[in-house]
Amino acid sequence: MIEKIKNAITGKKLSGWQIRETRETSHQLFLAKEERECVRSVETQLFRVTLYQRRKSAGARNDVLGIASFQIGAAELPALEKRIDEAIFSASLVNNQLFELPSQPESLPVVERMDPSLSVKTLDECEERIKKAVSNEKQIRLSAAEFFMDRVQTRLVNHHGLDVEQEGTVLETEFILLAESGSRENEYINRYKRRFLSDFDLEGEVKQSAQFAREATVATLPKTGPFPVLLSGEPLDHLFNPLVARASARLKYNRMVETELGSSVASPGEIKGDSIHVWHNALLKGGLGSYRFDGFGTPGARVRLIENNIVRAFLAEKRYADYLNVPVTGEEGNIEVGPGSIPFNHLLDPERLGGGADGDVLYHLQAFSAFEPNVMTGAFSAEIRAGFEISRKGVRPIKGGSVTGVLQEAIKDCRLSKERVQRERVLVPQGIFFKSLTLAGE
Amino acid sequence: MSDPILSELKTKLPDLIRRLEQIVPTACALYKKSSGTTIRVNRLQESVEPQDPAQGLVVTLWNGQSFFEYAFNRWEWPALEADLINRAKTAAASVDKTRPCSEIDPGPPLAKDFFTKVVQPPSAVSLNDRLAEARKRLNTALAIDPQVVNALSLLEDVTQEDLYVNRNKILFQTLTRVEIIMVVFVSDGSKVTQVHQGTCKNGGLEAVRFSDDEIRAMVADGKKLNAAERLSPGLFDVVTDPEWSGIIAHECFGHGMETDLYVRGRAKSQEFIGKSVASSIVNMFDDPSAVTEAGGFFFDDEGQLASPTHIIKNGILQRGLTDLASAHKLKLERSANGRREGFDRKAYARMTNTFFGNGASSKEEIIASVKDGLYLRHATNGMEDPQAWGIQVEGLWAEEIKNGKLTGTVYSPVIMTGFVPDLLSSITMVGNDCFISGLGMCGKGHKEWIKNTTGGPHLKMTARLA
Repeated sequence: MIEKIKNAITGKKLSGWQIRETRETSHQLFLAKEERECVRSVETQLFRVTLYQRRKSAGARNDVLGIASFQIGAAELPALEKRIDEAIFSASLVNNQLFELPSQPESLPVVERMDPSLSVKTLDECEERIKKAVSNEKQIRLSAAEFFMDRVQTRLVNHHGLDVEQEGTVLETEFILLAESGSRENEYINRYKRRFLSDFDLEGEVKQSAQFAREATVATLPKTGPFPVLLSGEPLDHLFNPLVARASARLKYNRMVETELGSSVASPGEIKGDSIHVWHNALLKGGLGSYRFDGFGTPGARVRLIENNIVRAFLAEKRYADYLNVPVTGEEGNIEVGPGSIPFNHLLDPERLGGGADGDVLYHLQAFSAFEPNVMTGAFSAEIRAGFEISRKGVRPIKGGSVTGVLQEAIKDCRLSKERVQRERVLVPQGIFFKSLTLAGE
Repeated sequence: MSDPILSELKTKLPDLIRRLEQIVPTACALYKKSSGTTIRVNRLQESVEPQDPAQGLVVTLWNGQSFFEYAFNRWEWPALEADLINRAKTAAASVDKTRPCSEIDPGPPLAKDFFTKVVQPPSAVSLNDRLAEARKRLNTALAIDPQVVNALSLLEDVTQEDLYVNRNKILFQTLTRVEIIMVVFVSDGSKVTQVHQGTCKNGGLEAVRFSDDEIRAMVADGKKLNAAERLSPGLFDVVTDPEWSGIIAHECFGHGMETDLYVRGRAKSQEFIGKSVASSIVNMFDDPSAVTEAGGFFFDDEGQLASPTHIIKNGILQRGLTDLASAHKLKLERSANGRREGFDRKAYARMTNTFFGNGASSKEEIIASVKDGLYLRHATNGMEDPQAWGIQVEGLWAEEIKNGKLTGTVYSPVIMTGFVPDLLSSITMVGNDCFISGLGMCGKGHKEWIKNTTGGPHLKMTARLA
């Protein structure tokens, strides 16, 4: 079909084009409690066609670029000519700054993102595994579980002769456990994706989720005020997004951030703790953001973006690299954050770190209803779903209330654990300790 | 129905369903197609793009115990029919003979085509003119103040066509939706704040308007937000604007009324049907039959005709929102809430247009009644917790109210947390100015994104904020 699209484009008044074919097969299993509610399979094949038209524009000093794209499936093939003509007309209306598509790269990196062992039987095995794992947990029952096993093949071609292919697998689950204690019942939702079955660790995830669910039945609200906080687990998935945003060529070009190379990602003032190092890493084995090539065909790479809190490079896909005249890094892959020097367990000790405003209380927060800092301002506010209050008196589980802060301010006094964990799209320290964040609870 | 694929399916699917039901007790099919155009301009970039076509067919088989679905976007007859018959045989063979089987009611016979009323179809206005309109709004925003470093102006239209076929029904609907979104980025030199606003309705271009005054108000809000400080946490008397009220209705309460959660034993509301969950002046609805709102339709993705559901009546919880699977399992009366993200995703019980009903007070009366409190606007998101009924609503704007007057002092950002029944029971005044915002998209957890709307009038309550 790519050949048919190429033939249909040939002879049209265009300065460039790109076609991306995506073939996806998905097998899905849905359990309501322990019963199979639904078994699904999905097969799709789609082609995204992007057309470029360089032309003069009235009032513009330089040539401008018209861009338009459309997606088409095999069933719509009779409408191909019409869709191309409509896209060319759309491209003729819009004015963008010029940029060039890449040509065939000399080589593409080897990136491990495909597990050939996955099959339809994998879902049956997952069903058995989760039922067995839940049966091993006291006070716990399975509310629901969903499993998705996706295989995605991508081929990208453009008018410069670029022709590249890659394949990936994703195994995904969302399961909900219910814990009952006396009259209190609480749930814990766990959702995660992995590329390889060997990384899926359903038993380990059930065990930890069951613990969170049980603890929630006796958890109380945290105190209110500024406290030292250790974040681990789920909140680390998006914690560093505002820092990466400061190194984004797309946001820089669109004037949504005002960063210059050499500027700090921290608010002005003394840095008392660890400094932050951030890489864009598209080569991480099993990373969901790993790729051999990105949406333009740029080979995957690992590039340092932030060193000691200072922006050293912009994260720039081909288009924005051309616009800002900076090196091409490829589109955002996985985010890697450098380790600190303190063992994770030491970060849990409030005395070793001098305590906080309250003198001897530390909050270890592991799950929120949604923890997504505002990438523009760095401000974050999130409702606490699982955590602990740690003090000399002991440890008590907490749930409810919220934590708030501004990341650029908080990183001026933070500690990073020396151990790192790989999650879906990040490789980050296992724990990040902030000297002072605001909690609202009791 | 000019689409040849639709015409072909309308002819062939009834016979396919009949053949499949010779193998399994129940079969049905849904063809979904969406098309449209998104025009997006900012200071530096422009695009006029067709919407990605979510075009495909999903065939659902019920073997008496479980559902089996096959979704795809390419087909050749009769190979497809042979493939589906094999899948039906597999589904039939999967029956566990030690467990009982049940029949699914296909509903009363009905063959009908439905269309949204469109006065000014988007396609009747040239792309050039629609692009010019989007550019005009952009340029208005950029000219208001030098602190506006960029803005995004979006104009979008989507036409969705659905064909549902089962043993008794052949239903077809065309829904056209239009949307205007404006985002302004305001910088004070050290911080960039974004404020977004817009309007989205089912209908033609006549259904949406966005004035220059609204853009000016957005810029003024952005400048204030850049100077705003964080709020000291505490319990406050608050007044929520309709947007914020809507997020409470949707996130804090609505998700917990989706009865697929009842089947999974994870909705607290199941224990409260017929009981008080809110102050007696509170009413809440889900209404897909409000078809001019962006979450409205004529029938859901499981062929159920749209009708309103009164969820909370004078403070008393009435009933939940069903999809086919949960209604069948729990023997509940169906409501039209079985919805899919696309042909390739599963149907779940989902909200549509969800909102608090009107009360008796004006906005001015409500604010005047607050001695010391906060006025909450610019809600950005919320998160459900149907089992524990915890609340999380985040927003950009908490403006101080002193002695019944807004003082102009703004805190930002702000998060509302707490326990749902405590919050709803604390409502002491309900406005008479219900407004439904169509900008929202809703996920089930963190996936399955669909369009729905939220709304309500101004509400006065007591809430924990930080």
